[in-house]
Amino acid sequence: MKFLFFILSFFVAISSSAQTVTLGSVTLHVWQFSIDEEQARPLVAEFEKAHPNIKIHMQQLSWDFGNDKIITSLISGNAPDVFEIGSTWGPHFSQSGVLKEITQETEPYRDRYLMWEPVMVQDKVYGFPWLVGTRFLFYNKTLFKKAGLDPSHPPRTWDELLSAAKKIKALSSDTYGYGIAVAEEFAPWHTFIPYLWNGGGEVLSRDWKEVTLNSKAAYQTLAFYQSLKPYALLNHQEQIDQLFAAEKVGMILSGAWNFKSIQKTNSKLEYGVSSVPTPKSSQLPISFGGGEMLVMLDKTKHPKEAFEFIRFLTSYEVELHLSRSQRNVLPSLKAALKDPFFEKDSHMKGFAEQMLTAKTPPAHVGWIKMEKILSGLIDRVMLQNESIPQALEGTSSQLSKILNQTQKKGTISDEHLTFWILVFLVILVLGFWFLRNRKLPVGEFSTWILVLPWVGLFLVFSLYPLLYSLVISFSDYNVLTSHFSLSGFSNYVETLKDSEFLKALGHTLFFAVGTVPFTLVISVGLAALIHQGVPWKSLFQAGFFLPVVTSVIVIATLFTFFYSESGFLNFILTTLGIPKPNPAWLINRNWALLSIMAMAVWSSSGYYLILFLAALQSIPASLYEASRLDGANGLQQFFKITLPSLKPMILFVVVINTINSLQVFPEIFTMTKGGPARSTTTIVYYLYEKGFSEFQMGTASAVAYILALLMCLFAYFQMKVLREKS
Amino acid sequence: MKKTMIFIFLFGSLLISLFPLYLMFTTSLKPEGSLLTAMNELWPRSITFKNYWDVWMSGPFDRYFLNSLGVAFVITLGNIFLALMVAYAFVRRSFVGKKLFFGTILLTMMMPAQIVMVPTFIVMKHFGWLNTYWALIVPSLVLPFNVFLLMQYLKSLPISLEEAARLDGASPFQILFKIVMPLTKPALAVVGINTFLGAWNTFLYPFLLTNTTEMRTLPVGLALYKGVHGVDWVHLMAGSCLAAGPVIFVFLIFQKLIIAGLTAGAVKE
Repeated sequence: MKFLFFILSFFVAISSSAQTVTLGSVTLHVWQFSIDEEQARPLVAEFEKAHPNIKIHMQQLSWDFGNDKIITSLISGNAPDVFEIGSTWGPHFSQSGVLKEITQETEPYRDRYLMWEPVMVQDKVYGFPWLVGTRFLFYNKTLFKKAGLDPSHPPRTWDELLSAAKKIKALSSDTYGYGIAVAEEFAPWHTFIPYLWNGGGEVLSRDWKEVTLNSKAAYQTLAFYQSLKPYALLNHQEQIDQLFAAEKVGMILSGAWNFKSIQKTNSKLEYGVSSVPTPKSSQLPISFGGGEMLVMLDKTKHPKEAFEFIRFLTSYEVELHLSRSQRNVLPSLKAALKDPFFEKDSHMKGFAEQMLTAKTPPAHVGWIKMEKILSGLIDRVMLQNESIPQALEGTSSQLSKILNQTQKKGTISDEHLTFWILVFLVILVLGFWFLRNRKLPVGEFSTWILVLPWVGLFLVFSLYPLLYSLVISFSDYNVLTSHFSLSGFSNYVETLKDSEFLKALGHTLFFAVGTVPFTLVISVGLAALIHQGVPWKSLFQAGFFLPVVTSVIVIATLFTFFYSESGFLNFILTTLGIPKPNPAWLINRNWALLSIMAMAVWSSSGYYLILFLAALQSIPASLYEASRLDGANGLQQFFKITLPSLKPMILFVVVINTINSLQVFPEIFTMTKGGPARSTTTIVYYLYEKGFSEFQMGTASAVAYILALLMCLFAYFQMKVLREKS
Repeated sequence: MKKTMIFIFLFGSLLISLFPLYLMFTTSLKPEGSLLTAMNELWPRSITFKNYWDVWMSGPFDRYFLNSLGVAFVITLGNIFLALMVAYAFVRRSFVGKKLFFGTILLTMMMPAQIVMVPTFIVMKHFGWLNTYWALIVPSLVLPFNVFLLMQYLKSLPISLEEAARLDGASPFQILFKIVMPLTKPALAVVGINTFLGAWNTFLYPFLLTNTTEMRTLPVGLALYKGVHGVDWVHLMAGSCLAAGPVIFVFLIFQKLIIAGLTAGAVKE
């Protein structure tokens, strides 16, 4: 009894001491994209000084995969108290129930800040606009002078823009009047929609019930946009921006990040900024607005402190400070936009003025999907030369489909998912144990010691995730609402019926069939040549492997550079007098996938070469000696001895390489994001879009299982064919 | 004559294969801003190491570097021993569930990382391993690819040596580590290289599973650097060279082992 009392008091002591710690100070976890850590440190210190009871743990996310991190942590219930989301994600997050409603708290600030629409559902507010931005016209004053245009008078109307573009294009063959962003997810529609709005067009009706894109206004806008094409550079926004900085492009519609990058790459560039040209000169220009929102987790334990911190980040001083030091964002606070700071800097002033007339796209839940389709519209007209009415018609019907989709809401909370999977696992193991073939020995003790460490890891880190995704693939699972309902085979059926999926499947198969044989022949051939003895053998052994040393992401970045309009490949072709494709490789529908495939062969051959070199070591040298005595030449030796001995390794490499090729993703993600016109969308890229930007984990899991089935089929036939030969 | 032809052919292929890396290196030496005017220069007119310095000083890169090195080292060591043990058991022993286990390893190799990401994250959270070295190391200790590779190699080894050792009274572990392991050297060297490379370059999981600066690995640090400073080729290439350097070094060590396998030449029948 005494003992029990002792234990009890011990626990009481522990729990009470723990409580005093939490009472003493509150730790807030904050994830954001916009400020780098060096800049964040003094801000956090300032806040902590003013609020000694609050500790801020701030983490910076990368733009590339930051959203994946937020989603993964939301699903597993490990999300931060405060985080940043882009305005296009606002509607989805606001309606999902993961965000805290802060309608009352934000009441006093509603009129003083811009851009609440993305975080509002009817009249409820789920976030706080933080840093905002817009698109505006950059023009090169030097090129204007050269082309006989007035550098102090940027084009105000569409006609003026067109004639200026013509004159600048006429300067030389590698100078362009204007830059049109194509073959991406976002930039093409960001830079087109201001023209659409100024031309009187709208994508959706006011109540978001109808698609109004197929209109006369949209037709006229697109016709104007298309008329710029002969004088324009068609490329990714990033490339256009760089070539603007390099004085190759006269005018671009782009964002404020250019201030900093121009400063860095070509500080002597003389350029001005202006508003988006409008059809008529008397019109007040409308620009496109987007921004970053600060939101709070619904489950946060410290809502008061979290809001306190949001208010700190959105205060006049902090917003202005960030805008001043970064020069690529603007404060969402209207008063801060009129700060004297903006008067002094002509570029920033132009930027701030645009912001006040900026308009945000419809805050519809489906906008995440719609924006990609809108970018596709630009590709259709600019790259595929589809007629404008046809492109508008097709795009509108795609948009309507999304508009008519209803949000399904699950009924079962995913909290119990793990438990059920564990139960399932135990039943599986027990069932297997009783049904096992009794004649087979359980295995020696030493055998189990050999495999036990692995079996443990395998159950936890392989089997559990497999079962988890299997269960998910049979359900409707919206990762944001964290609820699901079983839906049978509908994910599988819908995926197989989706024409986008079938296209992605086609691209993936083409990729695998086009790379695996080449990689095999190159790696076996080179390995055999090196093995049979050349001078500097070790140089070759090491040299061919080196490309493998760098990560896929680095290689993909390197090749983006290599394949760009003014990149090395085009440079070589021009020098040799071979015509280069127009538009350049990665934004050319016919060349993009092939370019990535060539890179894949280049970067993976060395990898398999090493495998073959190792396998060649196990061929006894005596075999070669014997055949040499029989008078066999090198070629005969290769076919009679080397190839047959390498057979197990060849089988292995073919199977592994096929599996890897069918899963191609980082290359696509880094180089083309599935474009142009979705011509490089592969299965895993499709899956990634479904799971992490449309939040349909169930569909994504079903796609993964379809893919795995496909791989099994491939592997089975490869094993069969290659084994039969022997 | 024929030898010379082969040499010239190999040398030409080598140049093609190394060219992009050469481009990466020379670009990293160009001064900021010069790239636009001299994108296609084969050798930079003026050389600077400032890009390297900028990248290195932009965060605690020494810490990232040590993290990457430690994590990759432990994972590599784990795979060399544990994967060999598993592969050996699969090839030479029979036990309950062998076929089932084998089939599921294949399946795990076929699952895209994006799908197992979420459940893995959930497991880590339950274990309390988020933002620890455990999360970065443990799931990769026995990679299915390595098990397969070693199985393939072990199958081609003659069993006679092991049987002789068993008759001499060697224990199963002595047989594995004293007899089989030395024979497997070339394959183990490949496992070592591949595993180290994979662990060194991996980005997605360390990015998802770590939350503090102290726990970041080099690729995560570089990705964040890229994110904040915009795409700026010269710095990006400098960062890539920084990441590639140590791996080249490790590769040269393991590569000697592959060749050592040749001189050991224990496989003679």
